[in-house]
Amino acid sequence: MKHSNWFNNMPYNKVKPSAVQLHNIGYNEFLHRIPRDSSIFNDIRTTLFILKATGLLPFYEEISSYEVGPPTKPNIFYSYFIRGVVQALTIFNLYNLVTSGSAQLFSSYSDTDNVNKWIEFLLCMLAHSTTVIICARNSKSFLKIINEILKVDEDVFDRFGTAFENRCGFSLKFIVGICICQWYLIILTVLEASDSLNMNSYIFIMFNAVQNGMAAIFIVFAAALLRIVKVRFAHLNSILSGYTYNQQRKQEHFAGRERFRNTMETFPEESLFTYRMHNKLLRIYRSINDCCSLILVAYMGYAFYTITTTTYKLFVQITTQSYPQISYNVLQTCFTWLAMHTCVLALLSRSCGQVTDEANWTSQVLARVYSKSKDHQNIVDKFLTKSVKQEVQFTAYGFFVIDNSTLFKIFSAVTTYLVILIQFKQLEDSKTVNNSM
Amino acid sequence: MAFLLAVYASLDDAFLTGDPLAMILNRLAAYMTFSALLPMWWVNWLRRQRLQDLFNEFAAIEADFFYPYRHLLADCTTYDNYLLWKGLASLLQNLSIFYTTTVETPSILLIIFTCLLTILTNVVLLVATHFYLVVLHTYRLIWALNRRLEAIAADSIMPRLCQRRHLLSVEIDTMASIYARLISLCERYTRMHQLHLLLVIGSVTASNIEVLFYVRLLWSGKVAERTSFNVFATFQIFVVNLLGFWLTITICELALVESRKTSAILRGFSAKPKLTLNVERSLECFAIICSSTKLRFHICGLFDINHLTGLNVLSTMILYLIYLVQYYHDNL
Repeated sequence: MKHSNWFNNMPYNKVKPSAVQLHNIGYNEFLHRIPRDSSIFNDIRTTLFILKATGLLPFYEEISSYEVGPPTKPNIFYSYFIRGVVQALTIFNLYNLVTSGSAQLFSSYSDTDNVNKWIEFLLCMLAHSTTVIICARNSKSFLKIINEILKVDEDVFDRFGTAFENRCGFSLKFIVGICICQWYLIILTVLEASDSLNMNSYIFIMFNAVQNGMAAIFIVFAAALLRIVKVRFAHLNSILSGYTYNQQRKQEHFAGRERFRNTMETFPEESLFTYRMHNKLLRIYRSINDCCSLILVAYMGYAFYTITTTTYKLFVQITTQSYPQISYNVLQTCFTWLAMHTCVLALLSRSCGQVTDEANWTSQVLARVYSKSKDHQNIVDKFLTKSVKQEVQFTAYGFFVIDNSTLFKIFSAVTTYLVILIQFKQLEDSKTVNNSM
Repeated sequence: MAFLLAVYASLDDAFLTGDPLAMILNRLAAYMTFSALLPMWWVNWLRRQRLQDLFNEFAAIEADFFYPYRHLLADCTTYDNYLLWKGLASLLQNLSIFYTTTVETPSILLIIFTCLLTILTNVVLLVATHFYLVVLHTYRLIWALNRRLEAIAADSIMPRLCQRRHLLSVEIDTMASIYARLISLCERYTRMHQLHLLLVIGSVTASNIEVLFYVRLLWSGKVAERTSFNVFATFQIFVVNLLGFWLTITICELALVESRKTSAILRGFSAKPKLTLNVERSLECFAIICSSTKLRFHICGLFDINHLTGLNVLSTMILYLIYLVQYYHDNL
C-alpha cells in the first residue's frame, strides 16, 4: 500500500537525510525535533478567537496538536445564540433604515448623496449577513480545512522534521487597524450630527461599525489561511528545486567537503511525497475558494461601491464652491474609509496572487529537474502531463479571478463610475439653476 | 404573428407611463423580440435531423459507459434541483405574461392577444429550455464520470482490482474517449443553439434595461398613477427574466467547473507509486485529452457562456440604465 510504503522508508530518511534536506534545514533541524504546539494556531489564534467569539466559526475542540474535533454542545448553542442576536440586530437596522428611524443620519447632503449613503448601508448589511450565513453553512468545511492543513503539517514534520514559519503577524496588525478605523468613524459620525442623536441612531451606528469590522476581519482571516497554504506550497517548491542543476552546483560550492555524488537517488520517494502533498494542498486551496467565494463577492461589491462613493464625496468636497471652507470632518471620514477598504482589498488580492503563483510554480521547477537525469524522467512526466495548461486560479464565484491585477481593475472601474457620478452632479446642478431662473 | 405585431405596436404604452422615450423603447424591444422569433423557428426546423442525431449520441454514450453506473446518475441531486428551478422559472414566466390581463376591465382583444403571446413566448422559452436541459444532462454525465474516477483513485491499490489491472487500463481508456465524445457533443449542440441563445440573451437584456428604466420613471413621480402595485407589476418582470437568464448562465458554469475537476482528480494519480505501465499510459492519455480539449460554450464566436459573461451582462444592464437616466435627466 502506498501509505505504508512511504512509512517504511521514514527511518531511512531520518538517519541519512539527503543533501537537499541538509541544505534547506541547516542548523535548525534538531531544534524542531520535539513536536511542539502546532504552529498555525500560534499564528492565527487571535483571529480565530475573534471569529469564534462572534459566532462565525464554531468553538472546536483541540484533540491533539495535529487535529481539531467538532464543537461541544454548549459551544454550538453559543454560536447559534450569537448568530441569532446578530441577525436580529441586522433586521432591527434594516427596519431603522427603511422607516424614518435613522433619518437623522441623512441630513446634511443632497438627494443623490443620501441615496448613495442608503445603498451603502444596505450593501454593508448584505455583506455581513452573507458572511454570517455562509460561515454557518460551511462551519464543517472550515474545520475540515484546518484539519487538512494540520495533517499536511504532520506529514511534513514526520518526513523532514521541519515546522513552518507562517509569518501571519500581519493579520493581527490588520485587525487592530480595522478596529481603530471603525472607532474613529463612529466618533466622526457622532460629532458630525448636528442635533443630539436618539437611542436608535446610536445602536444603528454602533452595529453598522460592527458589521463593517466583521466583514473586513473575515477577509483578513481568509488572507491568513491563504498565506498559510502559500508557505506550504513554497516549502514543497524549495524541496523540488533542490534537485535542479543550479541548486546542486551551489550546494557543492558551499558544502565543499560534503560531496553527495548521487543526490538524485532520493528523488523518486521525495517527489512522490511532494506530489501527494501538492495534491492535498491544491484540494485545500480549492475548498478555501469554494467556502469563501460568495463572501468575497459580497465584500468586494460592497468595498467597490464604498470606494466609489467616498471618492466622489471627496471630489465634491474639494471642488465645491458654495462652502467657504472645506469640512475637515468629512475629509477625515473619506480618507479613513478609503484607507481601510483599499488596504483590505490589497491584502486579499496579494495573498491570492501569491498562493496561485506558488501553486503554479511547481511545474516550472519540475521542468528544470527534467533535464537532470534520464532515469527519473518518467516520474517528472507523470506530474507534468497532468499539470501542463491546467493552471489553478482563485476565482470569486467564477465572476472574476482574484490575483494581483484585481486591485488595478477595481480602481479603473472606480474611475469610470466616478466620471459618471460627476456628470450626474453637473446635470443636477444645471437643473436646479434652470428651475430657479 | 403579423396580427400580433400590429396589436402589440398599437398598444404602445404598455405601462401607461405617458412618456415618449419609453414608448420608443417599448416598440424597439417588441420589434426585436418578434424579429428574433422567425429565424428561431426557421433554424429549428432546418436542423431537426441534427437534433435527432444529438439525442442518439446521448443515448449511445449512456449505453456505452454509464450503464453499470446508473446509481451514480440517480444520485446527482444538483440535477434534480436545477430541473425544479427551471420548472419554477418557466411557471413564473408564464404567470408574469398573464399578469397584464389583471387590469380592471380586460377586453376580449387583450385576452386573445395575451394567449397568443404566451404561446409564442413559450416557443422561444422551449428552445432555450432545450439547451438548458442538454447542458444539465452533460453536467450529470461528467459528474458521474468524475465520481467513478474518484473511486478508482481511492482504491486502485485494493486487491480486488489488482487482479484486474488490465481491465483498469481499458476502463480509463473508455473514460477518456467518453470525455472527448462529451466535449465534441457539447460543441455540436452549442453550435446548433448559438443563434437562439444570442437572440434570447439579447432580447432579455434589452427588455430588462427597459423594465428598469420604467421602474425609475415610476419612481420619479412624473407618472400619473404610481402605486406600489404598479411598481411591483413592472419589477416582477425584471426578476423573472433575470431568474431564467441566470439559470442558463449558472448551469453552464456548473458544467465547466465539473469538467475542470476531472483534471484535478487525474492529478491525484500522480502520487501513486504502484501502477502498471498500461494504466500509467492510459492516465497520461486522458490527462493530455483533458488539457488539450476543454469544455466551453462558445456563442457565435462572440463570447463564452460562464459566470464572467453573466456578470458582464448584469453590469451592462446597470450601465445602460445609467446612460438612459442621464440622457433623459431633464424630464425626471
